[in-house]
Amino acid sequence: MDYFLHLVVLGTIYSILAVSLNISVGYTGLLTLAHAAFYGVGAYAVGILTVEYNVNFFFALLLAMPAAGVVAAMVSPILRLKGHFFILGTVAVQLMLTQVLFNWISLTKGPFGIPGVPSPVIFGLKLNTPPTFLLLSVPVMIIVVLLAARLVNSPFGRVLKTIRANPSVAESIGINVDLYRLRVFVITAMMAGVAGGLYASYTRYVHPSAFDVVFSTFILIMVILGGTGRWMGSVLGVVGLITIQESVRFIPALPANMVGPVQIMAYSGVLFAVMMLRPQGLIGAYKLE
Amino acid sequence: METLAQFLVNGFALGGVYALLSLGFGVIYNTVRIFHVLHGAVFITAGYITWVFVEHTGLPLYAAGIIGVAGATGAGMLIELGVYRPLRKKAAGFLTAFLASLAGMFFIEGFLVAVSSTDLKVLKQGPLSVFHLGDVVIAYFHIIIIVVVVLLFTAVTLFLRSTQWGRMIRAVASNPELALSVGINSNQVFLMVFALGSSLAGIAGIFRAYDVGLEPVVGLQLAIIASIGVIIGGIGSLPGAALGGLTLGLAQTLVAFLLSGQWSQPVAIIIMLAFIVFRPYGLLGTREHKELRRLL
Repeated sequence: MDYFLHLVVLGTIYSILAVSLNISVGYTGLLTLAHAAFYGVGAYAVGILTVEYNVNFFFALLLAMPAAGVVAAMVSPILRLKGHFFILGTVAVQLMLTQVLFNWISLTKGPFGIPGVPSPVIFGLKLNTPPTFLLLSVPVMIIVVLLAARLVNSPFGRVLKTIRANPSVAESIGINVDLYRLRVFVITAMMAGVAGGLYASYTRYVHPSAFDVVFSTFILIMVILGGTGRWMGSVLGVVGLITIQESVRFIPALPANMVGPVQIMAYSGVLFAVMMLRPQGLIGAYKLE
Repeated sequence: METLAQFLVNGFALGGVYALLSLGFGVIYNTVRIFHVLHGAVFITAGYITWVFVEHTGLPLYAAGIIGVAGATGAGMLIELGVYRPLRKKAAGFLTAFLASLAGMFFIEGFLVAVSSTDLKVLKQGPLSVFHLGDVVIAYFHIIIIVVVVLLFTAVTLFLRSTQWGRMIRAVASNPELALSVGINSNQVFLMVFALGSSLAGIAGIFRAYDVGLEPVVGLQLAIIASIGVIIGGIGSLPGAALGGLTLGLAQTLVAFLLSGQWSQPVAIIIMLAFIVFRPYGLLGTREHKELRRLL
């Protein structure tokens, strides 16, 4: 039961990631493979602030948002790129940030990671088990998902859909496309930062390898599986992917050291099949470009 | 002075492998306009096939190497037939093709980890045999790499410039509709391009497996290196692609000399970002290139 609840906690954190990535992939047409990097910045912000500087968790979580947002703004020149170049630019950002986490040892402790991130405390209740942590992660997830739904159904969201459908048309009716892209990039990075902060305090340990390009792809698969451009789809995608990942554990006679690689094979196989058969995802609104 | 010469020899050996890889990537990208992430899988397949034959059948290295390159060529053609051609038939966009390719890359990486663990597979036995030139230590194998790369580059250039197939490939690359209207079968040309690009990647894979060894994660890393080489060399220019790969090899070696090896991946990315911002048409590309205008 605790293991199931553990998966539910991860599901809430992944939902924040997938819903935010869907705003940029599904609504604005910015396919990025750097989402895990901003997730990592959020996690490290909370890890460093709470462990090194004894900052209160909730204050650190608030600071994780601008931290991820500032990093996103710093790398935003890649938004000038289009098509393959943009994707490659985001991969570049992702690999760079992973390297920074590994090599900026005075700040991040590099490959040792940061252990002992304190559990959040609400009214004297220590949230250090899956059921108690749900008291925090479920409300945060609901807030983020509602914000995302509000965002994409607002005039702002309609502008994004116009940009996705045709940037030139958007430009011709006086929309500052570059500015909107920058806003989406920064806002979604901030949401990923929140997810990272939750993750750090839940696992109580941050390590660079949790925020690599493989995990970025993992988030993207959740979005695409659930369908681009539907905000509830992303939550379904999270459920689907966790189910796929966990059912690998029940394959009989699979040695323990094979579970990880077979999981990677399973979800990349699913992405491959979806791309070949139904590129808009299972219930997607748009066909990918 | 000696350190400079030493750095040049090592840099050209690494850059030669990158140049082959970028050349293969460039041939495919310029013609098919597909961001072929699976190029990394083709690269790594050649090394693994060769390693399996050397390790388990005791075949001599050159014979196993030929099988490895043939395997890579076949793998590249299979990818075109089984992945990209069906997607083209469905008029799928470039993102779909990219994601299918990326998913395939991860699948193969996972498969290799599952069946052969993450160990480094090295073809050579013991250290490379070397000779001394003054204070500079030169490995015979690095000289072989540099010579082979120069020969292959010349051969590919001549092939594209002065054979019937080469002219057809360039025709499809510069204007697919016009090529179709004069009766060129673009599917056949694409298959040829994949065979050519994949055999180059295969040779690079065997060099890498002999020199420093292969592990599953190298596939994606070097697919990225190959594409960065094409970008900094200039999209649409094959000499540019080779030069771009060479530049990356030299830069990484320089950084490894001055700082440490772990910065070699970031430096490639920093160079790419610098090029994209300050000189997006690359070293030898032209500002007016059609493909480039679409991307910037």
